[in-house]
Amino acid sequence: MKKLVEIKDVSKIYNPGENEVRALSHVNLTIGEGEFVAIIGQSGSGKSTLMNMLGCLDTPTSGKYFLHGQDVSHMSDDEQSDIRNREIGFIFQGFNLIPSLTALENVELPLIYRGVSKKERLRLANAALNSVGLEKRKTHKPSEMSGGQQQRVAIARAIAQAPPILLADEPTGNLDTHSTKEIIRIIKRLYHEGRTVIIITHDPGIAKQAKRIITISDGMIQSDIKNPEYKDEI
Amino acid sequence: MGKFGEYFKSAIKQIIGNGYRTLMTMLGIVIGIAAVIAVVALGNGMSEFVKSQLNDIAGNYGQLNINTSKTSERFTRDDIANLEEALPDIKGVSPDFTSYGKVTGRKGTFSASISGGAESLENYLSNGIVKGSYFNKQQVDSSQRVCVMLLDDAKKIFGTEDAVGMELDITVYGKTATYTVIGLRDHMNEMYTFLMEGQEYYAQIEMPYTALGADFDYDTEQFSSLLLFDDQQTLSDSVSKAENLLINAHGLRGTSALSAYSMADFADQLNQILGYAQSFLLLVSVISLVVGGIGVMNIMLVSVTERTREIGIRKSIGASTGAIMTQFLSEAAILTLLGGIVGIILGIIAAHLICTAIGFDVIITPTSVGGAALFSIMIGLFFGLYPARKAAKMKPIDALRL
Repeated sequence: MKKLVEIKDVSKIYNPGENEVRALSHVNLTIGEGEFVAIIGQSGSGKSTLMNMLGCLDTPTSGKYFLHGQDVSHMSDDEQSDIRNREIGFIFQGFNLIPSLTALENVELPLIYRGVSKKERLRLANAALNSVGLEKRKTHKPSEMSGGQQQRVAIARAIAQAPPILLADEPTGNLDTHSTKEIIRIIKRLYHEGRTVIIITHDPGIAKQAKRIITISDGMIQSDIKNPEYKDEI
Repeated sequence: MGKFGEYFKSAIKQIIGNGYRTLMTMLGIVIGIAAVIAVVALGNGMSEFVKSQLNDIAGNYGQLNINTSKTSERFTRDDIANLEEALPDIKGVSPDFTSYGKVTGRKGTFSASISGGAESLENYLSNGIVKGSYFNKQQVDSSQRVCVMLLDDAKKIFGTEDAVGMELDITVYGKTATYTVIGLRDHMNEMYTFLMEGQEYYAQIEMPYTALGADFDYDTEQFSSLLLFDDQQTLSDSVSKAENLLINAHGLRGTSALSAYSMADFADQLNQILGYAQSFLLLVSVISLVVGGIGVMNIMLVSVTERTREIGIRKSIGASTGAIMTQFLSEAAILTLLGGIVGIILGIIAAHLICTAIGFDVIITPTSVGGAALFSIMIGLFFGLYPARKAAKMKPIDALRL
């Protein structure tokens, strides 16, 4: 398996000095292409910091982060933006859709920043929305949709430009049971289609859907196991 | 263009989405731009008005003066002949005598300003002879007691505008002589009336300088002042040529005893003064534009704060600093451009109303309209810069955390 993500001795310290908070402490982690990983931890465990690190939203205090073998730990803001655009599809707990834009426009956004032509953009955005079953909601604004539907728009936005990594931060945290099942089903399907999926969660029920479970607490990796309960069906 | 077009569209969407707020923010720019357009139009109209009215009052002439305290040299009749020979295209040269006295006609006695000159003095005022005729060279040479006045003066002195052939007594320094009116000039224009408002009334009498000299003891062989008449376009040139000729003829080079000025200089000076007045008004309008611009900056800062989360989302899915910057800058620029366009329309309407009410021509140049539009965009870019930078420099995690 080819290495996709390689984190080497990464630490993250907030407020350096007397009251410093060591959010991550000498973490080493490797994730290969096409893996399905859950990172589980309580709040304050450092999982959000790890997720920001993995998503190129933050830079480590020390240590190195290689993505596709490229060191991305000390890049400029714009270089990081570009990496996020090309390599990572985000799925957030709060959906993070832009309220003034329609579903289709929200999905188009990363493609606009990538400079994809209008025609190609519409094709990709429509395909992504179709694949999450939102053919009939394309012109709806987020406020006109249910939570589950909004999260499906967010997933469509994350996969529209086919990034190698899907990074989901508590993707079902704001959803009811029915919607949760649906979202998990979609995420599993995307894994089956060959994407690398990383879910960050505090919910063991969600974590056990993944093939590999990494437990984090106090800024350190406590365990990293193959999930014995993993079921390959969708 | 592709990307930029998208940022542009999203900016327009945002502006429309915040309709009421947009309108209030734009108001400052609207008023500022409208004021600039109106002030420039008003200034242009005023300057045209003054120019044309000046031409109406005074003919185009230049004056050549000898400073009698610096030299004993004086202009002579030969000088006049020489100038007219050397400058064949000019309308003529005349001695310039001015005197104050009294005139007595059928309706009584009035103060009068009396100008004595050669037949070319006809060009001194631009309102032409409408009744009778001006005195000619033969009448000048023979010192005939004839004179010319304005229709208004005739009405006052004789009670009628049909005054050609009537006689009046002219008194200067205790000496009195009887003259015959042979010509009447047209009425003066509004500008003259305006300038003379509240001043003591003087009848304006013109007569051959030879007659003036003979009756009231002026030396008519040498003069300290000459008038040169010419077309507006060539006046300045002719006056300076004449100045040179006279300086050489009288050996006054290197002294400052001979001076010359033309109506063109006077018009320039007046325009300069008007220019200052206009610059001041323009400055005031620009200040209101700056105030409007600060309003735009304020609303953009509010917008950046309100949309922190949106900025975070956009950055997390790959928006570069430049993309966010462009989005907010185009929003500010479109906002002020819209304000500018509305301001231009209002300004043109205001200019029409004001200029028509005062009686100026409405002069709105493409430069002022284009300049105002461009300036309004610049204001948006300038005052949008700080909020846009603030938005673009946000860290995506900080922006998302909220």
